[in-house]
Parts: sequence; structure tokens; C-alpha cells
Amino acid sequence: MINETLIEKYFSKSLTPNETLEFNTRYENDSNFKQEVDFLENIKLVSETEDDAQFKKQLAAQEAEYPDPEKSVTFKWLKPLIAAAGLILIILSINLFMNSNLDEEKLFSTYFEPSENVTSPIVRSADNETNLNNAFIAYGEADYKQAILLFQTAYKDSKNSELLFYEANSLLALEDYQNAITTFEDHLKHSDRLTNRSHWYLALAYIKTTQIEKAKKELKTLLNSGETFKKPEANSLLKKLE
Amino acid sequence: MENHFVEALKHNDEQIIKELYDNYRNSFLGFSKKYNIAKADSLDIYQEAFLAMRKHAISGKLLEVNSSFKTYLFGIGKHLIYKKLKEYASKRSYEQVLHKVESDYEEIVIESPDKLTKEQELLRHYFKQLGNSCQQMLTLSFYRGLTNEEIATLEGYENEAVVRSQKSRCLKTLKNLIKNPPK
Repeated sequence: MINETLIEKYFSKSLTPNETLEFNTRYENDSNFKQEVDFLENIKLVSETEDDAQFKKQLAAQEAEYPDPEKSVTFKWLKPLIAAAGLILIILSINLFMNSNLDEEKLFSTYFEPSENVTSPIVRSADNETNLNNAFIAYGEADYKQAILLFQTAYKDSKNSELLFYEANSLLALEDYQNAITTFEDHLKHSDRLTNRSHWYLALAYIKTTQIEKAKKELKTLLNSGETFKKPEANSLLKKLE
Repeated sequence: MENHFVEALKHNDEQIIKELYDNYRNSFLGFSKKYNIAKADSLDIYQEAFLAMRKHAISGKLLEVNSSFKTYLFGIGKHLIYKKLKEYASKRSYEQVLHKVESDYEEIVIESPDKLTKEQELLRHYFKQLGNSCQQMLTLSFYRGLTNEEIATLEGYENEAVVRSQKSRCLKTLKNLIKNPPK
């Protein structure tokens, strides 16, 4: 019979001198015992090999966490370039921000206020329930949404082009810049007392939508028109844009 | 040698092993660069040296060592570097620069493991077909040389008798695999 305890002690290197003697005797004389021990010795070797392989895998996985040397060489070159590009981008965007975005916003809010009603004095009376009167009432109360609807209806009825000017002002006040621009442009197709004033508001709408060149053109037209409306403002605004 | 490092290697404490690996990696790459070892080879050598450290921890050899973890690791590394330089020399004409390099580390000679025989390779093949718990059981019993009692404690078996019967079941399975290989 194979002595398991003897074998266990042999592999855990805890045989006493007497047991070592017994182990050696049996190994030499008992072929079954020898065969078993040799088999287990092979398992020892094989399991060690497997264990080493597992540990190597673990180390390789750790190594894999390091950046690829080929790539890191590229990165060494790229890093300063990326940093420089980043810096340039930051400077550019700050510039852009300072020169355009921030200024546009600021310029617009500094200079824009909806035009006064210089067309039709409001009559607050139960007898005067016309769209036009109501439109100017809404406009005067800054109820621009209502005003727009009423100006549009009144314009259809009367074809008074000045109403386009107030509609566009209302759109601008509601920050509907695209429609405001279209409506001011419509108004500029007509010639009335407010035509030149539309250049001023259109310029502001262009500034707000970062169409600086167009804005400058409108301001110049206004200044060359002999119109006194917003003349000093147009001058200083034009200087800021140039 | 720092005892907690030896224990970490022995019980495969991945966290500490990772820290050790990271700590000395770059310094070792610099060290082997002095010997003109290619980077890929240096990394192989570094990992090989780590493996040798672990084997020495398991065999108990490290506990008798007075030097620090790093000194011993680099000592083994130096041995493996010399081996690699000899390999380079045999492949092409290479003037050995071994003695031109001054280093603080004493070479530590380690045995290179023998190649497995055909029979052993076959045994390995079947060993790998065992379940993880059986592989672990046999590794702990024969490679690590743990007693049944120690395995019971380490792996959470109820007592050493359970380990004993489990181990004999694993050996029986392995023998059956060899006798009647699955098709």
C-alpha cells in the first residue's frame, strides 16, 4: 500500500530523518511506490510550468498597460505640436471671442432698443378698435408677439410700408434675427420716412448674426444718407467694427 | 529581504506585485540599456527575472537572502542579461562589453528550467484539462509543497480529510484521462 502521509511529507519537505530513510528504502524496493512518486514528481514539474505560465501572463498583462513604445515615440514628437496647436487654438478662440462674439453680443445690447412709435399716435378709445391702433398699443406695451400679428394684418389692409419697420423691430426685440433681417430688407425696398432708420436696425441685426461686413455697409449707407437719426451712434459703432 | 514582498510573491498578491513591477521597470530598462540589450528583450528579461523572484519566494530561498528586493531582482536580471549577450554573440559577431559596464549589482545565478520531456508535455496537456480547482489542488500539493492541513486553511476546506479525498479524486481523474484520452 502506498503511504500517503509519507508522500505528502516528502513533497512538503517535512520528512524526519527516520522517515527519509523509510521513504528512500521504499522508493528503491517498492516499484509501485516508485512509480507513484515519479508520477507525482512529474505533476510537480508540470504544475510548476503551468503556474509559471500563468504568472508570466499576469506580468505581460501588466506590461500591456504601458503605452506602445512605437506609439510613444510618435507621441514624443506629437506632444509639443499638440500643445502648441492647443495653445494657438485657445489664443485664437479668445481673440475671436474678444473681437467678435463677446463684442457682437455687447454691441447689440448696447445699441439696440426698439424704435419709438413715430408713425401713428395711439388713441385709447373704444371707438378706435382698428388693427393698426391695437398693434401700436401692443408694441408700446412690449407685447411684441401680439404686435407682430397685428402689424402684419394692418399692413395687408393698408399697405403702409412703415408698418414693416415696426414688425421688424418687434422681431428683433424677440431675438428672431433672421426674420427681422428679412423684414427690414423688405422695408428697405420701399421708400418712406423710416427707410433710412431701417439701415441702423439692419446693421444691428447683422452684427448680432456676425455678418460684420454687411453691418458696416448698412451703417455707411445710413451715414451717407443725410439722416440725423442715430448718427453719432452709427459713427462710433462703425469705428468699433473697423 | 523585505518579508511582505516575499509573501506577496508567494501568495500572488496582484496589487503589490503590480506595484513592484511598476516601481523597478524603468530603472531596469535603463540598467539593461547599458548592456545594449534591445528593449523588447529587456522587457522579456525583466519579466523573467520577476518570475525567478517568485519561484525563489515559493521555494523559501528568498527568506534567507539578506539583500533588498531590488538588489536581488537586478542581480537575477544581470544574470539573464549575460545569457542574452551570449545568445547575441552566437548569432553574430559581437564584441562582448560585459566588463566595460560598471554596475552596483552582483550577478545572481539562477537555474534555467529544464525543458519538459515528451511524456511531461503530454501530462501537461491532460493536466490542463482538469478543472481549475483540481489544477490548484495539485499545484499547491506538489509544486508548492503545502500539507493537507495548510491547503484546508488556505482554500477553505472543512478539514484535512476533505483535502485528502479531493486530492485523490483529482489524481484519479488525471490518471483516467491519460489511460482513456477523450476523443
